Amino acid sequence: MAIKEPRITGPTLKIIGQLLSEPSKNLSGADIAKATGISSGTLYPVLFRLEKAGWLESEWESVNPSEVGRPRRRLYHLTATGTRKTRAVFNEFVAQTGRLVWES
Amino acid sequence: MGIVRMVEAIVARLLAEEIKGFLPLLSKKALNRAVRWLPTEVQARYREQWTADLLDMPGAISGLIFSVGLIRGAIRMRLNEETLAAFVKRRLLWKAGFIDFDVVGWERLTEEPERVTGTCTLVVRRLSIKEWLQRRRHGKDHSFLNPMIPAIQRLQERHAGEPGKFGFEMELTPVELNPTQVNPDESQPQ
Repeated sequence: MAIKEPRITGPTLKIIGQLLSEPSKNLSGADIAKATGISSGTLYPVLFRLEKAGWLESEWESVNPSEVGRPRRRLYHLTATGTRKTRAVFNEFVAQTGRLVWES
Repeated sequence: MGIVRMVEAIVARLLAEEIKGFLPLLSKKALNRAVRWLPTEVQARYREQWTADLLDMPGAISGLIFSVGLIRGAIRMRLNEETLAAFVKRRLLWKAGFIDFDVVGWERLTEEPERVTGTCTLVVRRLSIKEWLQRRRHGKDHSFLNPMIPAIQRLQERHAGEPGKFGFEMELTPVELNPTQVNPDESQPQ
């Protein structure tokens, strides 16, 4: 079955823009929420869709919860496919709006 | 006048402290509520993830806003998994009592003179119209399951429309444990 491509909305652009701006860093949902100002009610459904579509991957923070005294964070990063598709989306967006919103 | 203001300030401060003390509890409740909306297979993951993210929120109020927002997010994530029509149908069936459970097994774990513990296996499933009418008319005697009713209702709500099998570890008195009650129901799961 073909994987459904995620809808590209304003919050989606903000989220993938944030992940692209720090490609070497894995970000938690809280990091993305704080950086973009997107509410949790919008953020997690977008992350869920992007992860299902294979644009994002997430993994547990490598800490022991009993040692650090808190639950593990789930950290997101763009996959190679996600990076490629994201750039294509931004390029298309730039072409349509004429405004540069992302640059490597 | 000065004393009144001072008392007002003290009361306001105490109230603020009290409310502040309650906010983390409310946040946790909202987070749990949100998790229950999610498909069962991802609940554990998101419970841990969201609890960690909630702890990263700068304050109690932002934490509450975050966790209340999660309820909306969880509903949207659930809707992403099934169509809106399927979701509404499932909820309506559950509300109308078309989703019920059958007790299909009981395994004794320990037995003492005063109490018996065991695992009760239930199957949550959708009833046919005939079964639904029968159960409306005659009811079902599962009084021994009363202590588990809240947990069972949560399972019914979550699995409405999807058959599922669940085991509960329970404590019963020998009087409660009537063998006729724990035999598989006449109507087997479809």
